[in-house]
Amino acid sequence: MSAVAVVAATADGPRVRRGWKLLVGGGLLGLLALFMLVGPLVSGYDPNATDLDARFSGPSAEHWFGTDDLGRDLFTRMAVGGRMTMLIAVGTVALASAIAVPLGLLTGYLGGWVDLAVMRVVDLFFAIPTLLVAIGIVGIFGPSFTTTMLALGLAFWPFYARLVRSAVVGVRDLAYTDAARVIGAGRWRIIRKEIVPALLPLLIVQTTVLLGFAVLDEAGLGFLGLGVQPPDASWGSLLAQSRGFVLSHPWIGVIAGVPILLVVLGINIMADVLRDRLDPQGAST
Amino acid sequence: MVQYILRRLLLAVPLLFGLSILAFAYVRVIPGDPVTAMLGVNSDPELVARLRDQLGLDEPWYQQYTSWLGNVVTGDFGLSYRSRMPVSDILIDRIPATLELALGGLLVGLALAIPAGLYAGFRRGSRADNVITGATLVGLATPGFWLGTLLMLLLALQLGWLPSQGYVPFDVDPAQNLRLLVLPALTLGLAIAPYLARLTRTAVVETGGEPSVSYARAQGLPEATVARTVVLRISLPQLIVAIALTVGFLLAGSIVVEELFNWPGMGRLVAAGVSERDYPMIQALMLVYGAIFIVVNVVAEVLQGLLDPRVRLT
Repeated sequence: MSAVAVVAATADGPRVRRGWKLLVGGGLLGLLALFMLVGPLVSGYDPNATDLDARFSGPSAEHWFGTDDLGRDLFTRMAVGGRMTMLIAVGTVALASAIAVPLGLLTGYLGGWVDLAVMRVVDLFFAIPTLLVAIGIVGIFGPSFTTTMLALGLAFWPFYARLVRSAVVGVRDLAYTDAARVIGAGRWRIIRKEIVPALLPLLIVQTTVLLGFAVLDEAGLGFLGLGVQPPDASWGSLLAQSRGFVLSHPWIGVIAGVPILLVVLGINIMADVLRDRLDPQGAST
Repeated sequence: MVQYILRRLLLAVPLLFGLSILAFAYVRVIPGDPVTAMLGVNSDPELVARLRDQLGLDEPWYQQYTSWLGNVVTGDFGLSYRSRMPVSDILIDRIPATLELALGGLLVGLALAIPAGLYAGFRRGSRADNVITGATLVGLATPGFWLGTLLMLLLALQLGWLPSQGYVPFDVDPAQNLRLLVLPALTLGLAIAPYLARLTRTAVVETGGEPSVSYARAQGLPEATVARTVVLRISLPQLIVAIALTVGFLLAGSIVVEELFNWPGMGRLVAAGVSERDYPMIQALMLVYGAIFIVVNVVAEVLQGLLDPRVRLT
């Protein structure tokens, strides 16, 4: 993700009929949720159970997505790995929001030197590739499930904070916030009662957009071997694992990317739907 | 104009300064001692003390920072913990390959995205716009390295049109160098194209609402002339700045793409540096990547100033 990534992902698309988008986006996410939650029960395999007699068996009636180098059932591992990836994505977005939203509100509303100082730090984060920031943080704590969340959250917040800040600046001096000020509302009351409600649509849409980026970057970190570590499965770690035998058993690498594509596509479409419904000003043109 | 350029250059100074502080602080927040990281836990205390002294680790941090910064400015990033070679020597070996890949990826991305974005923007709401925007949506959701894997399997292994991975320096064998560049550059280009296409489309759509455009239309100019002489002229400078901002994304993508295609650029040092805890290396990489981004953006802003006189006044 980068500065532009956020802007680009938030930029408008043409107005395709809403019902259609909701159907596709919701359908994709529903289908994948079903896969992740029910998949392991249906397949009946333990995600970490090895079966050395069935190593690298291709997709078949017994193993729908085939098996890996230790004979583990890939369908089950993909489903369980999806849970892990989504958990990381949600944690990442929660952490990034917990930093970015208060900071964006404060800097946007107060302005002055606080704003100046925080935004220069944000500028700095814009200059270093997000993935490198995340990798640097992994370098401090060592790769793990928690580190992935921490690293991505700390790498994402500046983009979110800048967006929140500029949105706050946009509503700070509108007539109705001025009106609240005139009747004697305090700073906190104005932020809580006037500004946050006005920002809510943007916050909801942005959280959704970030969720998609978190899934992609979890996979990126995992691909570099810096995410969730084996034997635990996440979509990133499965991709990293598949690299080892991409030439001899290419189907593993091919299958491993599909759910990522579908989930992020579903999330992005839902972000569009939410934008259309919640945020008429930012809606599609 | 000169004044504008100078001001832009000056604005980059605090950013570079902040970047250096961040990179310096990075090594300080790492739990554990750099000397232990270099020598291992059970090392001779006398050796440890000597190395600490040698590295200046017992001096106050601001003295360490200034002497470190002095070294960095003269191109001395210290020794790699792993190879014990100067980090700058390693980087100088790697930078050309990364720049070649980034440039190749950017060219592919622009070649795909600019025409698509312009077309979609000028024909907003048309079927072509819907197709391009739909493709953009799918592109945004596609993990770059996965796309690269697919391309490698298809173009190199199935069809055998291209070598699957590797690198030959351009001055050794230019033709082979370019053949090897195609797959990684295509992957990187396809990964950034959706962003570029969206930016282009948005720039065109937004410019379409400007008074000067309405005025040109009111004058009775044909739509094609309006597009060419007014909309493009107004949106191009903004677009250059927006594209420069994607360079961060481009560089992040190159880290993964280099790993996938065994492309011996700086990106391959990143993952290796982290897993080997080679902190001077990570520090230097943060500085170099950051500096590339900052320089590209200053250049873009200067270009914007050249093309759009309004910008120079603000």
